[in-house]
Amino acid sequence: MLGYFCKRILLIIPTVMAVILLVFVLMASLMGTDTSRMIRYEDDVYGAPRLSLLQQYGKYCYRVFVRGDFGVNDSYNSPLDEDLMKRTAVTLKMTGISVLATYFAGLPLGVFAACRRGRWQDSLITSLTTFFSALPSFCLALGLVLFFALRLGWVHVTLQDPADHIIPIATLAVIGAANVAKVTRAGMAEVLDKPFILSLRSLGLSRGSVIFRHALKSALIPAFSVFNTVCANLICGSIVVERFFNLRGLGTCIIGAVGSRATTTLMGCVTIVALIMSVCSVITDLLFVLVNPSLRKTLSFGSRLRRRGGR
Amino acid sequence: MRQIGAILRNPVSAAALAVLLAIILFCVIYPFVSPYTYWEVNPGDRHQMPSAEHPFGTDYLGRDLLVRMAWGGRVTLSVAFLTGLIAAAAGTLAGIVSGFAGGFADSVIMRVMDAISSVPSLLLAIVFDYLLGMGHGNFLFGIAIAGIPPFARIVRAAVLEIGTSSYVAASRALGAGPVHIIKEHVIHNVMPLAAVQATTSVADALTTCTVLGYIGVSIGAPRPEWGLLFDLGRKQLRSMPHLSLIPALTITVCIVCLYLLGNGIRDSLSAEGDRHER
Amino acid sequence: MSGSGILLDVKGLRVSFSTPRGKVRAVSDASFSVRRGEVTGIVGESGSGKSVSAYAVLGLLAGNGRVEAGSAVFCGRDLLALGEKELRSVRGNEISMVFQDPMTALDPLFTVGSFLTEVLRSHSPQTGRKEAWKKSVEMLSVMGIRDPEDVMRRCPDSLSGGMCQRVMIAAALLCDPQLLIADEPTTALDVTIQEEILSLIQKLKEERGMSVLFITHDLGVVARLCDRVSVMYGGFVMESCSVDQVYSGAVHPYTKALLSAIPRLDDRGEEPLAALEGEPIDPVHLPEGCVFAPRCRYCFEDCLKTRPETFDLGDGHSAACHLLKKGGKADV
Repeated sequence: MLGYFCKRILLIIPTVMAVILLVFVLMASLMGTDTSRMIRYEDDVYGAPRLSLLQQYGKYCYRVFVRGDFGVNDSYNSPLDEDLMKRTAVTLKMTGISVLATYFAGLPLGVFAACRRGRWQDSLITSLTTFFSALPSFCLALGLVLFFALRLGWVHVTLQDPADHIIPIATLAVIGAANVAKVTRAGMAEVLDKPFILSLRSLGLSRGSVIFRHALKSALIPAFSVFNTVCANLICGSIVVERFFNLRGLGTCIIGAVGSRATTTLMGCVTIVALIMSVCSVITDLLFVLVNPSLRKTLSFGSRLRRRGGR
Repeated sequence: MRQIGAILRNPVSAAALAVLLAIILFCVIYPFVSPYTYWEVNPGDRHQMPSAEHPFGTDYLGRDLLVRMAWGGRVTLSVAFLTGLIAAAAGTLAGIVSGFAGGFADSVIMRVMDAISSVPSLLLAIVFDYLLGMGHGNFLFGIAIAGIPPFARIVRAAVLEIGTSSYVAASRALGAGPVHIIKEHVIHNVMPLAAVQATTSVADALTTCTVLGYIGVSIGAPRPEWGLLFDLGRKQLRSMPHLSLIPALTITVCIVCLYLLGNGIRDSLSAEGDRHER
Repeated sequence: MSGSGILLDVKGLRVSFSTPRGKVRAVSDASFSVRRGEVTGIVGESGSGKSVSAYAVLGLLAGNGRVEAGSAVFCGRDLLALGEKELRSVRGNEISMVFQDPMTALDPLFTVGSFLTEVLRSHSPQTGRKEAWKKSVEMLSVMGIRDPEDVMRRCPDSLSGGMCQRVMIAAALLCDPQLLIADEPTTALDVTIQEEILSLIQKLKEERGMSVLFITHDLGVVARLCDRVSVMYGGFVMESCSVDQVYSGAVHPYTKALLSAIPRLDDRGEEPLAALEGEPIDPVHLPEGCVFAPRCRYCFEDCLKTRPETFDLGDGHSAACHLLKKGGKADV
């Protein structure tokens, strides 16, 4: 199993490199962007040396992966990495907390709904989760601000105190939790219909053990296999939430870069997001193996984890 | 046809459909009727509160919000329906091919779907728009592509289930070719599922489209879009909350209606199924 | 091993399920009993209410099912009147159950070892982990599993069907229950494995004095294993008697019909096997009279009007049929 995860972690680098290559080639071919800008230093008054596209790509990858250097900000002509790292930290902190909140809220909600299947609690939770997972995040952010900041006055709209950051985090968490609750409910409802639940009950195991030890363990498999998707949704959500609350994170950086056509900055953001999503995908696999002990023995360096299959 | 009747007989989904149609109709007709245009700047009418003259008030350039909402709706709704339907068609096709062919084709298609769904959809649309040239609606491709995987998964699962069913085995034993089976059994059984998923898909596309408008990726100023209108209004959240509330509520209403419509389709189809059983 | 006393006595059990189609009367009137140290068989075709009766006794009905009437006295307590908590201490501890499909009856995500020790420790929490492990291994070897330590470390999906059923029976017997309910435990298994499981149950009965309620649709299995039989149809018990009486002196037309549908070794194949005409009844719309009347060869007026009462024929033999009222036997 260790071998398998070593392989997965090592595979992150080629994955991210492939993403960079794709964007590099598309930028050069579709937009005719001068990609050499991405490998120039701030004191290169005459621009970067003439290199072929592949050489530029190699040099960019070398700088990013070996030196952690994302190039020079196009508009200010200053190193990009420090600013990018600061922004990444802001985004990661916010999305990280909301991922945790997402699972801590979504799992119990889904389990509760499945245990109350067919009753009003179930229909209420199902409708709300469908609604919130479809709602644009800025609508939710607006609702939360109107209610908690303007109506109740509990927090500042401008997010002055650290405690005020609960609103952007809550916005993301509600959307994520809705996703997780939906999947958990479906998984749990399916498991509760399985014959082994009946046989466990027939052996006199307590309701708590049947639901939380046995049924939940099976239901966690679908819930954790959407970890990747939940993270992708939260990254999308963070772009909106950062703009809504004027936070200096990766999302506002992307918006700014697109607006001012700052190619180097956008490339750096794409690289970082690709890196984050690759790590999320490894975490997804790890969680998946964690709840599925029979996989542990079979996983080796060369094996592939099959997460799909008909439901 | 009978299914459409069943959807209309359900009061909730009929109401949802009526509201959606009303909004669409309004967006199509109102710009012709209104004395205002979305681009005309009226410095004298800046920051008007809602009145008989301007039912939704005016923005910081004195533009009438009602007519801008109608124009915005044209953009937002057509993008949502167009991309939703593109995603539906492509996803259904991918799902059927994947589920029916199996083996290598299946694993390649599903790998690609996994890859797409692990890319944040918003970023996909932004990068597409950026690479293909901004202001020409190229973000549309990004939204459509991001909508394919859920479709493909649902259809593929259904195809696999149908493919292993004994009635398909029976018709195979009778000499039916793959084209016949796809036409007679697969399409017939997958369509209801796809119809339900299509409403979700359109709702998702609507969300992504407005979110893109909100962060400034749209079909180019001064053409309005609901998300863009929300963004413009948000700057006067305290003094003129209606400027952001109206777009936000309209988007929410559209999404709720699409969701209720999807529910109605599912209910009427399962009721249909029950009748067949009996 | 003489029939010393009655361990479980079910009387007048009535169970219904509320469904969108209407109220399904799965069991309308079932009375049967299990004596200490004996195997009682319940025989009937699918939908006759045999499994539902067993589930009802242990309070394991699905959410839309309800026990409407009847009693199930076990060791002086009416199980149908017990609360969920008291029932839980009965399940697995005093009465255990084994199911039809062993491959789906075990939690796929738990090793056999953690499953068995959990069952044991949930009924006697003072048992240590090591002790529970040791007891489980012993029980597996009693079940005829050759390498119990290895099986304990495996997950069910790496075990064969017969092996899973042995594990399930081991789990059922771990807390030394007085009664084992076996719900068609061999139906989903290969014929050779079926035989092994039947011998195992036979051995348990003989060596441990185990009482068993054996639910099946196979009269051959009944002859092999059971001491007494109750025949069910459409939610009613048609006939109850000892296993010898079934083959020598069955009185109910339904029992006779079942018997004549079994091929016999001494049959020269001159006559075709008699299949029962007609279809099983619809449990939503039960007929007013005897539920078997629409398919009965001997059906007469009374059969269509009133439900037959149960006649005691002495010697532990009873049957519910209007023909008995007329004094004659069914072989008119």
